[in-house]
Amino acid sequence: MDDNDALLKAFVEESREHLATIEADLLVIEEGGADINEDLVNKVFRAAHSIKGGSGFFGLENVKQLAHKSETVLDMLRSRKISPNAEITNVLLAAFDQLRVMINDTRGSESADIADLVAGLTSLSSAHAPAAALAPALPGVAASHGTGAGTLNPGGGPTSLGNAAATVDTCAKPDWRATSGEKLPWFVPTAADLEKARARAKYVYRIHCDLIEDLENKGRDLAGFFHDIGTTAEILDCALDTGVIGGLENAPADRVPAQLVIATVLDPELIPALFAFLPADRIEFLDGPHPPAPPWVSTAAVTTAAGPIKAAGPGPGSVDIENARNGLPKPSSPKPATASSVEDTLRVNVALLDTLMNLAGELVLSRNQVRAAVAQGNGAMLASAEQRINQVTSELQDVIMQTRLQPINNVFAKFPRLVRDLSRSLGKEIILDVQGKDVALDKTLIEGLSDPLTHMMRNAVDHGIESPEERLAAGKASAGTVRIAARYDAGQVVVEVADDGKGLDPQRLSDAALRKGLITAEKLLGMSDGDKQALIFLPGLSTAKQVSDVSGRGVGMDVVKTNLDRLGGQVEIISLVGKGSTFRIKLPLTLAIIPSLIISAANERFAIPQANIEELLRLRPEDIKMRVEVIGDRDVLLLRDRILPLAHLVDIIGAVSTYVDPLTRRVEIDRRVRVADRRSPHHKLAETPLEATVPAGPAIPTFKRGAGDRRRGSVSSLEIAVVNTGVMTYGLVVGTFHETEEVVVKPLGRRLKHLREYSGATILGDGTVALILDIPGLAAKGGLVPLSATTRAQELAVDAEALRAQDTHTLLLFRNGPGEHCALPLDLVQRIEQIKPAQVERLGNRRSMQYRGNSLPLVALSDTAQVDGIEQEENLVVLVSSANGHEVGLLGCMPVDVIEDKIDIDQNTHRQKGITGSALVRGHTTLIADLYELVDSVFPEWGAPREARRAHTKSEQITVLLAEDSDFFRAQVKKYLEEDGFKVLAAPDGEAAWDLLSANTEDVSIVVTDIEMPRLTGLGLAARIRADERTSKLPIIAVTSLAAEEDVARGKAAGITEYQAKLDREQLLASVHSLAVLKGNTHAG
Amino acid sequence: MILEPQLTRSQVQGLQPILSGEIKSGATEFEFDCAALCALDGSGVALFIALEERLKGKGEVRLTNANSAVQELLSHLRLADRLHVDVNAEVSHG
Repeated sequence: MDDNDALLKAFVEESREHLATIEADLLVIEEGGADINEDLVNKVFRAAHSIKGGSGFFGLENVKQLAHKSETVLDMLRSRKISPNAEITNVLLAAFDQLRVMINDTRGSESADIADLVAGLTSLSSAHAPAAALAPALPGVAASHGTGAGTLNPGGGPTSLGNAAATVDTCAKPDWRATSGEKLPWFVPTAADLEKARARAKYVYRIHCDLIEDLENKGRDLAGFFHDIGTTAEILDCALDTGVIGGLENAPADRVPAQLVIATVLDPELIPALFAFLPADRIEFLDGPHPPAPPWVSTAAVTTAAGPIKAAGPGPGSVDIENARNGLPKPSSPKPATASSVEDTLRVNVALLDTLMNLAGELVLSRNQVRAAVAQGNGAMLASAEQRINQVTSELQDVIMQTRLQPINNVFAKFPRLVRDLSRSLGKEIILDVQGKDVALDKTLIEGLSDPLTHMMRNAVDHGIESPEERLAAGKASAGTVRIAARYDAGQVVVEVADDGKGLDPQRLSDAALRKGLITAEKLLGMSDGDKQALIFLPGLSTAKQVSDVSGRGVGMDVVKTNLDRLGGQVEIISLVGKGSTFRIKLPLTLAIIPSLIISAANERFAIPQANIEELLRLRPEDIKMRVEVIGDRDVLLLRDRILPLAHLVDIIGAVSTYVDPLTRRVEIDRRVRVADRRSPHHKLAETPLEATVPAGPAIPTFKRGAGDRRRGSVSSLEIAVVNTGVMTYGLVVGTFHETEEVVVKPLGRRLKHLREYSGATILGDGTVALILDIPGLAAKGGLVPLSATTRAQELAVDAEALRAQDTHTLLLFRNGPGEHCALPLDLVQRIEQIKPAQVERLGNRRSMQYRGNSLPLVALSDTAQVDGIEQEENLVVLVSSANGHEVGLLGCMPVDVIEDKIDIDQNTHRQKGITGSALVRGHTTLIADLYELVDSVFPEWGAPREARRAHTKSEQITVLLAEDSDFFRAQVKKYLEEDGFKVLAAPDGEAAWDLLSANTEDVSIVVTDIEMPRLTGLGLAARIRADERTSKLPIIAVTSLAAEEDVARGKAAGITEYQAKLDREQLLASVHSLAVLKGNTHAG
Repeated sequence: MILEPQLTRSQVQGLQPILSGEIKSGATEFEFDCAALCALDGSGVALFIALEERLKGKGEVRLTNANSAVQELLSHLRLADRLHVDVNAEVSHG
């Protein structure tokens, strides 16, 4: 690149930045009307001025002229000679659209037709009249609109100028000849063509390229490709290999091979620059005015060509340019294909580059340390270097990711114009609400999001929002609202496109899908309204009564879904008929590195993106029969109150399902047709012997079985990943779960990329290759459909409701040594970490471990209770929790499991300090840990602030009414409250609580209540409290183990002030303390 | 049939089954209004070719109101005659 090229590139980049915000600024200026925002007008004026100055320097006359004319109109605006209105805005928008097109193609800018735009701008500036009088003075506008040029649209409808000129532009017409042969074998240039080229001192080449593989798949514009060729070469002929294009019934073609014969002055040394994106061997030299091979082409690289080419010119032959390049000195640096190809550039904050430099320095130092350690054979030094490299690599990854982040406003910025233009053309009133413009995403994601979001916004405007008349008739405001919002959420970015329009009618969608044969009536039977609304993502489904030019041809939402799937995103629909729709898209922050769970199946490892994983289940053999059923011809998983389709990874990927025989240790073929079928006939695969055996390892538990019973041993537990595609959740049966890893995504090779069940590949830490599973693709290949509306699903929902009404506990089960079964309420556990005994550090009589850069204090049940010590046990786990404002870990042993059931807790038999009681869980007496008591005992100094608080509370004589039907929970919560100095009135149900409250209205400052209770529920109690003027302002805290969004909403409606998780002492006490002082003042219900 | 501004893979995936369905219903003449069409990629070109192949001898594909750039592209590809591109229509200079 010479200096001029570099300067031009900088100018283009800078101009693009100016132009990026102008559209939004012009719309704000228009909205302000006569109340002109001078700062904004000045900003746009300066942008036009800068572009004018730079374009003059580079001799881009058209750019200069248009920028100058725009600048003149803007100057009139800022001097208030004219007032902004829709017509002026239209002209300016179109002018800046055209400037953007010309800036993006500086080389072609001189051939662009800007006459109409210049005329329109001149009319505006010469009129010197109030804006209203200017409308008729826009002959250019009307004329171009009338011709269908799409240059300007005074009516406010969509303009297509930007797209038109950006994607296809006029170019010098080649010398057309009649169409030649179109099928392989490929054509050759005629002798006349070659003679003509020679006469003009041109070289002739044959270019082999594929319109899809080489252009489309690489994001290259087809028309632009021909345009680029046309500027430096003459296209003598072109032929397409139509034989590889499949029929209409097949999938869209993925190849369109083409051959072009071109004549150009570019010699073999320069020609690769014109086709920089093509491998050099696709450029075939045919003929030329001079000896064909440049000095750097070795003789060996020249092979004789066949056919008429041989006799065509002085230098017959075909040059393998790839090989030629490997010969003598490389050709001078090739010129870029286009002078302004700055698509792949990115501006990076200098501070970030400085950080990268520092990290690069750190990396060099670490490398030196490794070298020294290896040379000295110093293991400790090597370990230290490894740690350092690990840290530097993580930081490098973070900083490099940051350099690629761009604000999502780069996509959002076009929507004000889009909504403005569309709503006007459709005669609708629409308010656009844009939120979260600063949310940043990887550059690739930003680019990939543009099309899907644009389509969804168009849909919202076209189909979502009703006409003003329809809205008024439906009792709504005449103006609809379309909202697009982005936010960070749990390591992901959530983008929502919402409207308050007519919503998606599930019946119409299912009728349309049925009518078009996109789904069967049988499958529809099992679908809920939500599932039916998700049918909108089926290809070919459109319920629009009229096909419009905005949308509604049945082309769209399926492509939106496909594109979002490709970006690793998930889309879900929340829609109510008559109320509106929200499309919620969840996206990873980057596509380059994704956190994944590594699993194995059929002796291969695979990665499942964690974004798709809802939870992991291990079904023990004795539980399989209860949790896996058959509906229709499919295994289904019963998961609490849900019924999920179950897919077997090995079946979908076409592998053979196996299991380990516990007696022989041999790997056997699984003969069962389905998991739920324990006695199905022999599967045909059973006849195939397998040689593999598992290595001898720890003893495998034995089991009893009767004749003909093929139940498996404990080794055949089912491992199921509950995964979500955004529109459906299903269970994926895998072989074994392994660790989680941040995997680097590599694209699939040519032979695999058509497989929808994989989204990429990665290399694991141990060097093996793993395929990354595409969760929506697997569901599609497995033919999975939602089952949420089946009769069985409804039965489950009823059962779950009944279970919820009972006193259930969710406990995390662990061991304290091999024989002692223990549990901790799950709500108290933040994370579980597996550690080695050596990681436990002793400081006096206290323990701790290094954890996330800090020291994590550890406690064990043996610190206070008569149980075994476990520090030297293998398979240690740390249950990370918090108490008294400190993070703390409870030591335990594997295996760890979770149980949610009705459990009777005995608070007497095994009660000790640190053990709150015991329960019979899965046939074992299980000790329930009292973490708070344990921590208070080991770290008494942490309780000092509580002591002070307790003294204060006691002196205030604050009374709490506690309603809780579970003896265990009631005792626990009462204890917490009393320890903090509160006086507690406890009742076993809502009715009893109301009686206590009625008798102690003056004393009770706050109510703490369970939700599900006999006689009167917590919601009923809250409603009664609110209805009585003596108590209507009492704060009410609901403690519950289940607080879904809808539960919270119901509670709020009944008058609940706040929700708290059961047994989270810290949160509960903090809330009681803060709310108790509100007595008689307010409530948030 | 009125084409949208883009005829790329995204649109082709949806349009292909519709065209196929139309042929099954007996349609033999397909006229595409290309007034708005400004981006056409390899998939779009392949769709036209597949449709034209399917109709060979029984009907035809006709593209009307194509702008000059689309006309030129199809001429470059030697498809203008085959797809009956209406060259007399007024064209844009975009």
